[in-house]
Amino acid sequence: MKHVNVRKDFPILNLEENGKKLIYFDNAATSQKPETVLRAMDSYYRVANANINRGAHFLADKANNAYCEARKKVADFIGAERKEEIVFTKNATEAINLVAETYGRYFLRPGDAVLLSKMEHHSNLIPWLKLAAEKKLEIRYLNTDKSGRLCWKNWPDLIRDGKIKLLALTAISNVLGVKNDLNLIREKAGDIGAALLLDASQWAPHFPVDVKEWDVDFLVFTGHKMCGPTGIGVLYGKRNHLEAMPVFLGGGGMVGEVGPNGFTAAAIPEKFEAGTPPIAEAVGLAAAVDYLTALGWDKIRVTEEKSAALLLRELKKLPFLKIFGAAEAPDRLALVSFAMDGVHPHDIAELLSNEGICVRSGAHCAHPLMEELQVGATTRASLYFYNTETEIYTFIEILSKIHHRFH
Amino acid sequence: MDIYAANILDHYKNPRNQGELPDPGVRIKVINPSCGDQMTVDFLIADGEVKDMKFQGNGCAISQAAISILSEEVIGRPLAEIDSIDKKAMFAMLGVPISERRSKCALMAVLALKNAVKKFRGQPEIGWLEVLA
Repeated sequence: MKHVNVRKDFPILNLEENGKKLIYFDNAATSQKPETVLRAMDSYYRVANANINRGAHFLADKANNAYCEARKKVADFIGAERKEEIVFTKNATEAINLVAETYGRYFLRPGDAVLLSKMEHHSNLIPWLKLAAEKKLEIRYLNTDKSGRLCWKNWPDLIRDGKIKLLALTAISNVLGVKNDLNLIREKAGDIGAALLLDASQWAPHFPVDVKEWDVDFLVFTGHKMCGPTGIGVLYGKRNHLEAMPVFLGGGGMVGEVGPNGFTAAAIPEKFEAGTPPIAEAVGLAAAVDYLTALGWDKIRVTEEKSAALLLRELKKLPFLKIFGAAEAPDRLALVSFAMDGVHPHDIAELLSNEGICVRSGAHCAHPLMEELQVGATTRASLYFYNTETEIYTFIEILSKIHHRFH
Repeated sequence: MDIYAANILDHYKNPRNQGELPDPGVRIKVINPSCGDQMTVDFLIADGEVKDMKFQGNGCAISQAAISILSEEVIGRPLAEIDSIDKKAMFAMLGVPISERRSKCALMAVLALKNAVKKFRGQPEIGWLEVLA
């Protein structure tokens, strides 16, 4: 598949609102979907739809094959050796809750500590706060440095009492867009024999994932941020962990034997997939994997690095803007949070929206980070490989007009 | 739909009655759940009317304009008249179309006002559901 013009692959990019062309700069919230993903899901429902597992007919075989194939594709996509190490969930949030409620609940003891960071999205914070309250665990935090990365300055103090048993950290902050040093994270976890969960929600759409090379215990990401549909997330877990963990949700599909007084769990990964799973969504995610793979990481990286460099360069020219995080491309996605002198993020977003430009304003489900940055909210522009230089220049022009309007 | 009319921007850039009262009878804090913006509003209520009012907080142009405009409307008016100020009245005072997305921005001021009167009368405070209705 040769991609000359990726924009024509995405039908929604032709949208116009009030005579303004859509400029979609909210990709960290969710990405747009290529035609092939839409067709794959539509086609599934037209020619292959049945319930999976233990179906007794040819149509169930088709559904089963589609679902299994999707699992295998996702495993290959992230470098997992075994497809049984891929659990499909509703989203990354559910995947983290799954780990907290099973691995966390079963293997962590009162007095143990979990290490998070101040830059975590609430989805990698709340499940641990919840668990900590119930199991009398301690939550400790890495701070954020000026470049927008994890700060390891306090590490020696944090590990001194030997209580940290699990690190749950984001590969890239959804507010700051800067790559964390994954090798360093892995090294630190290894130094103290702690388990490691990586939140790759903002990483997986933009950079290749390799769970084998990274040697992570758990990794989560979500389909809808990487050209896939909503309603499908992925938990990768090392086989020995998944096999040792107790079940999460109970119901059909995740059991072995069932009697009136008890049950045995199915083998992994079905053990963690209770009820009818999001089959069409898994098919959609597989199609998204196909699309990104065909496009090629080289092409995606070259395009995105150019975007990030241009976006940052042009934003830095505006004296009335403050940019959070100091890193430059290629360590930084074309994902930038900023503040404008004298103009509230909501007003910026509203006026950009009037011009067809979609950004996000608010706390981005990252209250501890907002507190660290000493702001209540920021405006965030987050680009993907289908955004163009022209869109960036238009965005910059409108930002100047907005500032002018308020001064 | 551009809601940043001249009056909105004027009140945002030159807010009336910004600050705090040295000895407020009632102090109300309002948080906008859609964005986390906070506003603290001081009221001096006596002789059956709002004698004075001041507000503080960082908010968007809509929320700041709303409280500024409302303060001009309300200072010197008897409580009985203020009771009738609701969502419809606030939107009319703003004079620009307020989308559902920005409703709470426009209504922080009304929530503060209603709860100030409730508190003054020793009545239980209301929440967003009542203001948005």
